[in-house]
Amino acid sequence: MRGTFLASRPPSLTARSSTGKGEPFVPSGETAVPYGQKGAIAHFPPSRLREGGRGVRPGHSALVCPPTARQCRAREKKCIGGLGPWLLAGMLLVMLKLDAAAQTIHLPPVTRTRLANGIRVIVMEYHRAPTVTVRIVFTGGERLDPEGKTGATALMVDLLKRGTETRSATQIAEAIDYLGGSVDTGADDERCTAGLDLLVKNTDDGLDLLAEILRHPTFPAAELERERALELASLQTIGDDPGRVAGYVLTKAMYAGHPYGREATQATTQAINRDDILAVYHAGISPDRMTIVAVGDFRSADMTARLQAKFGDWTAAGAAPPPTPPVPPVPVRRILVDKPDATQTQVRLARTAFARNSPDYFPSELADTILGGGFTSRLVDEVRVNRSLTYGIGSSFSALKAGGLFTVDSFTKIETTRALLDATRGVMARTAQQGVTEAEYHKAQGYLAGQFAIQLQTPEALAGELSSMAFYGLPDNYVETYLPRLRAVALPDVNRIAKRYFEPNGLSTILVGPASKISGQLKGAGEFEVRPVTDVAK
Amino acid sequence: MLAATAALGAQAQQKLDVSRLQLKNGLTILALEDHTVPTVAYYTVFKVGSRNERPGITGLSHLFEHMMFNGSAKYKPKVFDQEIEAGGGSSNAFTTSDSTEYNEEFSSGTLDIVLRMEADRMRALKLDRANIEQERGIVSEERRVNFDNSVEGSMTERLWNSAFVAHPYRWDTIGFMKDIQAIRLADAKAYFKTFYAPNNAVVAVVGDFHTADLFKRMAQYFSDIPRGPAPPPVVNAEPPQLGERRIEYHRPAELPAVRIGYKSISFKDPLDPALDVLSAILATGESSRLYHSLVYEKQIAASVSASNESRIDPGLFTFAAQAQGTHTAADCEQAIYAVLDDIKLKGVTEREVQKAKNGLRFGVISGYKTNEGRAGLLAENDAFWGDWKHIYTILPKYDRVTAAEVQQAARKIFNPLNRTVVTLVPEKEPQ
Repeated sequence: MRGTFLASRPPSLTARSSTGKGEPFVPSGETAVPYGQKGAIAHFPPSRLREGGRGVRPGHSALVCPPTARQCRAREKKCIGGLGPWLLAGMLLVMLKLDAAAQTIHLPPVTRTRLANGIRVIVMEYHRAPTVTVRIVFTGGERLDPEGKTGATALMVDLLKRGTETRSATQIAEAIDYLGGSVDTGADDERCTAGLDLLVKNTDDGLDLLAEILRHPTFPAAELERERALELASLQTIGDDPGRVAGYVLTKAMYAGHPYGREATQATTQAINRDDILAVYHAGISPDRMTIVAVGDFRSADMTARLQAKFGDWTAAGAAPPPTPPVPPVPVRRILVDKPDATQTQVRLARTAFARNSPDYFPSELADTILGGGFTSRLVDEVRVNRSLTYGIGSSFSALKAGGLFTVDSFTKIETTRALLDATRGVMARTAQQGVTEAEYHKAQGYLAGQFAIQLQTPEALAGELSSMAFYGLPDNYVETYLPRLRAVALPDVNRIAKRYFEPNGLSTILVGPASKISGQLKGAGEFEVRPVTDVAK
Repeated sequence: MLAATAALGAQAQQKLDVSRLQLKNGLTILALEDHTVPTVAYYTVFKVGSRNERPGITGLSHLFEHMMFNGSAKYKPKVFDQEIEAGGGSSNAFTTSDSTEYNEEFSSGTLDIVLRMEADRMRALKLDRANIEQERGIVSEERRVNFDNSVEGSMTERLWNSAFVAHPYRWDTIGFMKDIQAIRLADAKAYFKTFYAPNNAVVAVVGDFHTADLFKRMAQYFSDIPRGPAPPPVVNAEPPQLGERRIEYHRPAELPAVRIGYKSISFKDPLDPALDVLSAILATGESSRLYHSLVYEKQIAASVSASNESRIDPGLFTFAAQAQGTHTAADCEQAIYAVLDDIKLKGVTEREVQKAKNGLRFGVISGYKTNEGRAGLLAENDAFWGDWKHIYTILPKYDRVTAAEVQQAARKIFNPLNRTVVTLVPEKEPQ
């Protein structure tokens, strides 16, 4: 949505409660900015997320680009400009080199240091554009919300920008906007995040702002009320967006009994008071749990010194958060959310899968690509291309610290709800029972290798990858060894994953649409629990 | 600031090493080598969109975009995507009221087969009943998900439906459902012949290749595609509006909302850069005029946005707001007008103008980070302005915008007689 000037709250760096938990849906009004990977295996090049057109992933197509002239026309104009000499200079440098024959990726040098107060600093020079990207992660995140106060951490990270010891909310907003680019905060289940994307000449001002909002916020009571009202409006309108409803219900059902399954409701949002905000601030924002990644058009030594100057004298106060308990398996759930006015059914199929550090991760990238990634996957081929049942269908594994999900998502007109379910389950059963072909296996290898390199072109993507590696404890040579690891996955490994996760009988099903017109199609598909859409997030 | 920026633009113009080749059949090819990453971005703009449609075939441009991926004389259906994805790449496309754009990015080793497939589909796309029926179903689902089942999408569609009475901008690029269902194969064939000729297209290739080699191959693969007749011009028969139009839209929804559109200008109008600056002052960031007033101060809206939607022919300058709490669409609407009236009366500050320019500059520069981003910019600028070098003029145009021009633009565009307003009336039950 490059062309539309949204004055609503700027997207948080991690589109909270959107990606990662097995629901590749982006709630309306929020834009998923790639930030780390939250463990989700992403097959889709950024372009598919941005533009509409042929988009396959339902969530993305739903949000991003009704292929109207408005956004795209604007795109043409607003992204055009004069190039500076920097572009040329940058082109002479070999930034990211993929040696196709040797199948290796070389990143520019990365400098890793640790400040005396525990902050990890990871710095990479990137000279292709005169910009700087900073990503800060604090481990902890929304799972530390107090009981009955789900949403407190999300409110807290928004409130970081609404008042400090020296500046009011209005002054902070003015300072951020004047810099151009963005200075932002966010949170997900396991992380609080902050970051900036600016022209490199504004680095100092940007870092000053970041340090100030993270270290000296005041959480004014009036600002909490403003923020609460916005959050309530967002929860109140969830029922207007069937895709958002499906994602919300899926997360709660599939992570039932686990912190990942706690989602804010109108009631929990009403219950949060200023003491809760202060409590989650002290629990969540602390230098001993902090990693800073900076990628941009600077000298590494200089950037490290600047970060030392802004954050080096910050002393830790909080105790380390307890580890996240493992995600428990849940019984098969079948939920039909009744939205009487819908003319289309949103469909989600899901099961509990694995955590980010699982040995299943790499073989699953390949298996998932073959089943439901790109335009040539089995699901797209059968359900979209051969049967015209949908505009978008895709599968994904989301692998978080303590567990994850496997999810398929799609949508179809009401009348073909059962046809879509049967076609999808049929493809999955065949894949689970018969495995994949040699040709599919090789195509997926080539696809993932190429996409990995293409997606690492921007400083934002590089910073996200470095941040994600640090967060999940992946080795420092993860990028360099990605292709060999992928190649090391043998065809039987892929088939083992297919058998384990694609077998349709263990899948939970979430449907959102008019129950009166869908129920009759569900004979023999198991007992569905019907819920009114108006109850979601109450 | 101003002088420095102008110098930057001039300097860059000498340095960006784009080669341009026009084949005898009229196809324009732009090439920019960049060996940083071993990938190639291939980007095509066809100068056709929903503004070239007529009632009865609304949505054809976009339906056709889908049909472009389903096989051609030499390549069977599905082969296009299979070749590109096996080469580590991906492809996509989108359609607007003014253009249809295709993009691929893939490992450099895949370039030759992509060129062959692209030439073949421009020369001899497979247009048969199976192709059109397949995409008709898919596009119907696309319409349901993005418009019929989306409060935002359906409100936006209604705004344009109501603001225009004669110009094709009155229908959305997705087209009306019954037209999508009714478009015939003969319509698609005529459309291909008229609008997908090489003289109606610009291709930009950016990345890891050698220009001489690229031009040699493209001349070999594309030269025998026949030139087509010039597409018929679009008549802009839109009469002056001369009075506000108000539309109520009843549907199940939780909160009231409003869309406002003022008849505006073409993006070629000299006032256009000032409207981009104005749009940023109004609604980019939390310090913007509208956010600060409606969301922060008065707390009557949960969100508010503004957008300069100028097009080839005059488009709209639009606003959207969603109410919060017990506030109404009318509250939002009046608060927006108060902000606009203030700017018309008192103007904007120098600092606001500079702030807007800072954000625009960052956005412009960010567009160049990837091969695909650059390919899109080159192709679009050549297609719309006749010369890819137009990219050099954008930042200088922004930098020349003054506070006085912004006020003048506000006075010219925000005329209540040229206004269309769509108010969402939330209902409990489907209507």
